[in-house]
Amino acid sequence: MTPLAGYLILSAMLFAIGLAGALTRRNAIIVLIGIELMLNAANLNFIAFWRFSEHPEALTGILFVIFSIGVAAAEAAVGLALIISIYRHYKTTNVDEVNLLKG
Amino acid sequence: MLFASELCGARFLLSSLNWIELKLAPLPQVFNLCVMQDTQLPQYIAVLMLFVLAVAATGGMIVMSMMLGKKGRGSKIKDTAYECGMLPIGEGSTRLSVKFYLVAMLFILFDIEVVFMYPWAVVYKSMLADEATRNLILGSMISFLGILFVGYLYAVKKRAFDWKS
Amino acid sequence: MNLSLMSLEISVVALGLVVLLADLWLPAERRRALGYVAAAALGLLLLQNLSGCCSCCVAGGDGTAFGGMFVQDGLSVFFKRFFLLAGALVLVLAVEFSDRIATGVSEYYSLIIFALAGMLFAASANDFAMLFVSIELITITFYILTSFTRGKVAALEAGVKYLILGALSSAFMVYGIALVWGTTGKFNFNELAQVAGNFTDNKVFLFGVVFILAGLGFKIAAFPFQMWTPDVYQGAPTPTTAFLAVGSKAAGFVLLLRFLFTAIPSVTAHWDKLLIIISGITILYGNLCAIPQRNLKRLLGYSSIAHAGYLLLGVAAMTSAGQSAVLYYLSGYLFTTLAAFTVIALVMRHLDSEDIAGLAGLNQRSPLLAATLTLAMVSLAGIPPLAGFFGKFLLLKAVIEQGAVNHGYYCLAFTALVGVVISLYYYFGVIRAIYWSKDAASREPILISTPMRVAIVGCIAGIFWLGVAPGAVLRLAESAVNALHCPGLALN
Repeated sequence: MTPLAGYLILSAMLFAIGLAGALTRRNAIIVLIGIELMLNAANLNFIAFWRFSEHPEALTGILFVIFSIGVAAAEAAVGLALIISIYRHYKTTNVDEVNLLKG
Repeated sequence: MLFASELCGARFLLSSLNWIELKLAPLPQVFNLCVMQDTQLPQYIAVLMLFVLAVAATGGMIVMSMMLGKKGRGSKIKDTAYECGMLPIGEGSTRLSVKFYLVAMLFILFDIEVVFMYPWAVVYKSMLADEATRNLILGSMISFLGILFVGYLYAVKKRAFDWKS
Repeated sequence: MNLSLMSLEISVVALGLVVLLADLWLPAERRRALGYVAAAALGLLLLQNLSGCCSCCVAGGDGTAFGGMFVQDGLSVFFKRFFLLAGALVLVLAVEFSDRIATGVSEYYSLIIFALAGMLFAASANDFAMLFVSIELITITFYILTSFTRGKVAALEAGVKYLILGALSSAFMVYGIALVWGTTGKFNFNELAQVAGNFTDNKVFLFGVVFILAGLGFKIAAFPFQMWTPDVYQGAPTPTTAFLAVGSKAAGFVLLLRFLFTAIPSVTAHWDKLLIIISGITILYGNLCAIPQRNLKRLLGYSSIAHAGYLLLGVAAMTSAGQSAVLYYLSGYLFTTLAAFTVIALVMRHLDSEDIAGLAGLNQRSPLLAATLTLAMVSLAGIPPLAGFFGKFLLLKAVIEQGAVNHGYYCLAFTALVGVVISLYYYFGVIRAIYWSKDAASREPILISTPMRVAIVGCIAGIFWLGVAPGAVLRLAESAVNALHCPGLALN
């Protein structure tokens, strides 16, 4: 197994764990943490591909990770704000109990 | 003034980023990477040993206590918090002020923006030396900081940093 | 480096910042009119863009910036005008809606403008980094816009659902981009197109492409990534829903077109079956689920899924005829959907829910609004001589022309026709509620402000114009999609 494959498998596992968390957990904050894990799995992929690429002096992979981190932070901030507002209304952060809209 | 202070800041960032450049230069290709591995891996044996020891110690304690210790029967009433014999009311954790979350959110946003200055600082010197990109490199960071400053101004005027109220 | 190519985006971002800053110093009672100022500014930008038409048709107006990340060609110009028009109309609607927003009216305007800036960047994205950043700029502003009326529980719930599913889809997209970039080493679409042919058997690459398509499918609400649509459409404030239906979907489509036909044409060519199946299921799902709906916004949410399916017909056809039909259909969809949501915002002002029964007696209360909503429904259903009919005609024509290549296309065209027939039922249910329902909740006439009246009449004119005289826009659309097939842009 090449070192790159090791990193890719690790990142795939992280992605799968994050996805499982996002799909099975009911607490909105834990769901967001799971999604954050998925994003970081992708970032790990970028870094691994960049590090073992033929032209690591080109910093493209790193730059994408920086954008991805920035976007994830914005998403987390908005998500936190939304979940706080939800908590004020429902007194819960359980996504199952937030089910006014359906049909 | 602005220019000079930025230059100083950039130089400081550059010196702290020197390791990136050092690492970049002698980077091997994908397939002969095993050479590097051979030289580096033994250095981590101590970490591995510590890891094994930690797992063995903690795991051993749990397993031993399960095997040797007496088992109590759990019930729902036993799991409740003990509050001098009274039934507990409300949640165990103290509620934090919403202000706390607001500051946390603002921190995330303003903190992460710094990350964009790293790549900027890395290329700053070379792009400043180049006649064609001289105006661009300074202008891009100034416009970036300008947009950030509008956000900061907004947060200040909306009293997001006001701790007392 | 050609910064002047981005002058439009820079002005829109600056406008958003100015609106945000103006909020800090303007007295509260004058903030509401800020929306008209912003809409007028967007209108001016649009006019300037249109008058500069002659200069951008020649090669001089086209070009790339930031090392090929940002591309200005026929397609991006077409979509930029589209987004500017949509943004201006939505801002007028937002001013009308602003009395229902408790705090932060000007933030609402500026967020709409920032989302618009994201769409403008999406129209020019020619690089995965640009694609990702522009799509996230749109989506994250929409999370806030969706739950902006935070006193309403439905809006909050819609926001959280959109946030969780949107974040999930963007995680998939980033992972997909990582895989595609890792295997090919290219971010730029033009460069990727040159090497993508070598990777058609590479599993990792194909996984990446599928993940990216999942992210884009979420934006356009295609099956199986459509589950957020009805909830978000229903819960969000009406101007947000309108912008989501028009702007966000069109941004998804321009990125999808560029990704499929500029970046990976050699892979797309093998995937006709997948696109056919997704398009067919999306049409059927949207139309069938819309039938039992009583909430007007939820109904339009399902109908928007169905329309995403119709638009995918043009993508699945994989010809330039199909792609120009997508552009044409989107133009018609812009006027129709905005007209429908404008009427909903005006009529349902005093009602808590947007139940179809609330439309009763609209004919007496405001004949103009009744006629507008009727025209919008008829156009969405695809009855001649309105915009929706001609758009559907072009899409079906493009699909049937491809039938000789693959017989699946005939099945797809048949599915689309079945979908149209199903949709007649619920669209006419709305029209029946307007004209033939007995017990009207209120007989009070509805007052319409002058800017709103101008916007409504403009939408009606657009619906008729695109249905009766398709020539001009169709030519524009045809020249726009040329940019997809012969990206003869010299990379600077």
